[in-house]
Amino acid sequence: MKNLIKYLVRRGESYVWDEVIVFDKNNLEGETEVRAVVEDGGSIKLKGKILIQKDAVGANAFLRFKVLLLGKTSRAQVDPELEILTNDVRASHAASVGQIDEEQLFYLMSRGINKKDSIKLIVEAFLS
Amino acid sequence: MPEDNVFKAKRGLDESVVTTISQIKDEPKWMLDNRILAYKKFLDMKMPSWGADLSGIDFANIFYYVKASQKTEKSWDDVPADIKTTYDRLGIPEAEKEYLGGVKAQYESEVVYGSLMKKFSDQGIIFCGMDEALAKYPDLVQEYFGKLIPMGDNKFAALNTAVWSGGSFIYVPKNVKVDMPLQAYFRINSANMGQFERTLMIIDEGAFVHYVEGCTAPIYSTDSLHSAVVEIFVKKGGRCRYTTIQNWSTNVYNLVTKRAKVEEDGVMEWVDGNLGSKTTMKYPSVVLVGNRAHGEILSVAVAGKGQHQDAGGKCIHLAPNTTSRIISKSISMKGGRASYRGMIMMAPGAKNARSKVVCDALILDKKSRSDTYPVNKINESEVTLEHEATVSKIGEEQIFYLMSRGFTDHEAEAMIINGFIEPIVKELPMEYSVELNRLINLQMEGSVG
Repeated sequence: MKNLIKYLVRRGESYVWDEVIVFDKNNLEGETEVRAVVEDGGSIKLKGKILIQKDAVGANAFLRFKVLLLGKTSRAQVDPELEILTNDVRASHAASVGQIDEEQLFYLMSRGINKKDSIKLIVEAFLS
Repeated sequence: MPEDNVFKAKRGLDESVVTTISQIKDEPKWMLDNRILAYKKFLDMKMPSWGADLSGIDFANIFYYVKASQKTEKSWDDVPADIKTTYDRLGIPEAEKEYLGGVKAQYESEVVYGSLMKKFSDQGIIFCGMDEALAKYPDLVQEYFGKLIPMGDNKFAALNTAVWSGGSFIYVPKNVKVDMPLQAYFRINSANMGQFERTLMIIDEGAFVHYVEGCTAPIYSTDSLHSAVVEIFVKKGGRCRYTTIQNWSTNVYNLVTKRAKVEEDGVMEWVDGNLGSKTTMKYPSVVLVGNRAHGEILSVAVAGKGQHQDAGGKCIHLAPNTTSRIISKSISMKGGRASYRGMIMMAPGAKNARSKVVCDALILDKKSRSDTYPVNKINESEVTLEHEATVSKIGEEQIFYLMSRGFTDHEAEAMIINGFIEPIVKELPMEYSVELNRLINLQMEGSVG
């Protein structure tokens, strides 16, 4: 099972994603990724918990948060949690918050695309 | 061991106990007032409910002050024989005591032995017990005491402020680099006795110090409480490393507040090992207030039978170009629970701040548990944050490989675990890394199969 959740947070908007992903003997495998682009003035909170129950022997769980902050006043909070109640498992999470890679922007602009469109392309690629 | 304490306050806490502690120490009035205010705050504040289970603490059943000998000893020869015997049993080598220079030994709530090498005092370095510092340098203490961890910070900081005794005071003057680690040994040696040491360190501009704190305690039948407060001020360009190996006996509640404030170009490093105690709640924090300040937290936690290690770290970025790194390694076994709890906060204006958090956890058996509870608040857009965490068991193929080379299953597991915590162990002074590996091997005995 692979889940991809996407957010585009515009100016003045504020979103919260708060989920508990439970793994038990009926649900052993799962990967969830949440990607968010936050425009100037927007904010997002991503809070997710992987809960692996005692009977989830052999579970393999992964949760990833990726946030791209655009503009000067965009905000993010990323709280990926793990609660693991047995040992025969593999569980991990990752979270990153960053801005647009200057090199990518430079490359696109050197190809004659203006800054606004370049950013738009990068955002589209990030969310696709 | 007989409990031949010279003075022991009565069991339990009320205003008269707080006043008595202050009077015995002959403290200035501001400290007494501070203690009483903190005691009232302590009564008002609620127990923290967001972390480990603290319901087993009985505040009425604790001794809040025990004094082992009447005065702070000047030389090793004057240290009472039974105290020396206890240290020998701890395995502190004779040669090390001299080599390490200023050893401060906290024995039953009070510094009983303190000898500063002459070269330290020639350099202007102050390294003494907190009580001694309050008597000798009252202005310096008053300027910094409780300024980073105010009494209202949390219930246990309030308790410590009310009943603190012992702990270390360190001042390192401008551009002085202390070339050997300063060490303090802590012991709880009286059943049912809490230990509330208070440590204050001021690292002036361009100075450096490495402070090492090691805790061991014998087993007792009733629950004990250890609640320390450590405040560290790192000035412009200064650097401080604070290493702790915590190995309280498994009936001790270890609830400690540690915080450092770092100014421009300063560096603060916490190296934190938690092996013992029944329950530990400890999150060393770094507040980065100056441009380019750096904070680093290396944490190892081992949770065995009946233990809950709730440890981690916090980095608060308040200035541009600040950087931080948290590396946490935890091992749960025999039904133990290890939790990482941490926070990265980036305030508006902390442009180009960067932070990386890595948490790895091993669970050795079915009964054990591991948790990761990070909070990452990003309130400035021009920053970079990375966080990752992994929980797994020891790979069977790794064990199989080592066993095929002739190691027993226990040896193989021990080797893998020593390798797992290696990135942090290698940062410890040599004798501590040897001790840490030995302690973990000891704890693991019988955990295989």
